[in-house]
Amino acid sequence: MVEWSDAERSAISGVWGKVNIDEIGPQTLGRLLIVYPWTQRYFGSFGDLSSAAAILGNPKVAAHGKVVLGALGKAVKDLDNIKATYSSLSQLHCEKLNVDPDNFRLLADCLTIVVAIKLGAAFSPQVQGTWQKLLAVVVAALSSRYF
Amino acid sequence: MVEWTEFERATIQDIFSKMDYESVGHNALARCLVVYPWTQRYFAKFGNLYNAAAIMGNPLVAAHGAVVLHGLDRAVKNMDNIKATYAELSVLHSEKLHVDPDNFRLLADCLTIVVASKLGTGFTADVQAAFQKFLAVVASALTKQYH
Repeated sequence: MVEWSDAERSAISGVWGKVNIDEIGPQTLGRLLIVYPWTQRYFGSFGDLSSAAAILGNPKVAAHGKVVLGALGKAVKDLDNIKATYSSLSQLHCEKLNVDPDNFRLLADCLTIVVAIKLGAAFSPQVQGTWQKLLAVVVAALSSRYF
Repeated sequence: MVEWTEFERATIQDIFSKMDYESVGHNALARCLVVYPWTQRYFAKFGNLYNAAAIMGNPLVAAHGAVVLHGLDRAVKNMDNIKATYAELSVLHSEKLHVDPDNFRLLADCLTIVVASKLGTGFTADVQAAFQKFLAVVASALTKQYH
């Protein structure tokens, strides 16, 4: 099981406390679709993704960004049980959505960048290390039900 | 050969013309050593890397971070010839320093995070895409001479 020190737990809730899901979610998903354009293949039903402006203005992208970031909140609330928390989401991403798990890391990278922009100097190296550890654990949990 | 749009060229020149090489280089290398601790193996001569505070305060880390970032200058000034520009450095990293080329991506990620937090909202999705493309080309050029 993943071990979290008190400092790590505190750093994570510190970062999460500053994350506004409605703001950070859409930006994160938007950046994923812009910076790694092949990820658009998973969102064929979202309409106009033809340019950065279109993606950032797309209401379905915004709504789905909020859904994804809301789901990340489950990990933050239950750091000791992340694998179990994402078990059914993992199956969904594998069996129904057929998402290559490599993309989880790309989304995590975009989220880290958005958080760095938001927090500025407060996103110190130690905080960054802890945050990336959390995302790595989440990514591993989401990949855990893949064959 | 890599194609660069006008926007990408302008973005890269703009970011580097405003960059504080000493601070950003120090910050990026320190983060790499903190967030991906196995990278410390390449810097055994640097003395105290025992914890994040030691790494951040280590003058050899600061100096070397600046060296690495100034090394990026060559690519900035030679965007149409990045592969040739880094041929020698690639041989050095492979044959003398024995650096796993995966680590170039990790350092590039840390650099992206430092630049993102410095530029704040100025680090838009388009700017992010251009910057990450630039660093990916650099990493690829540095890996080119590996066997």
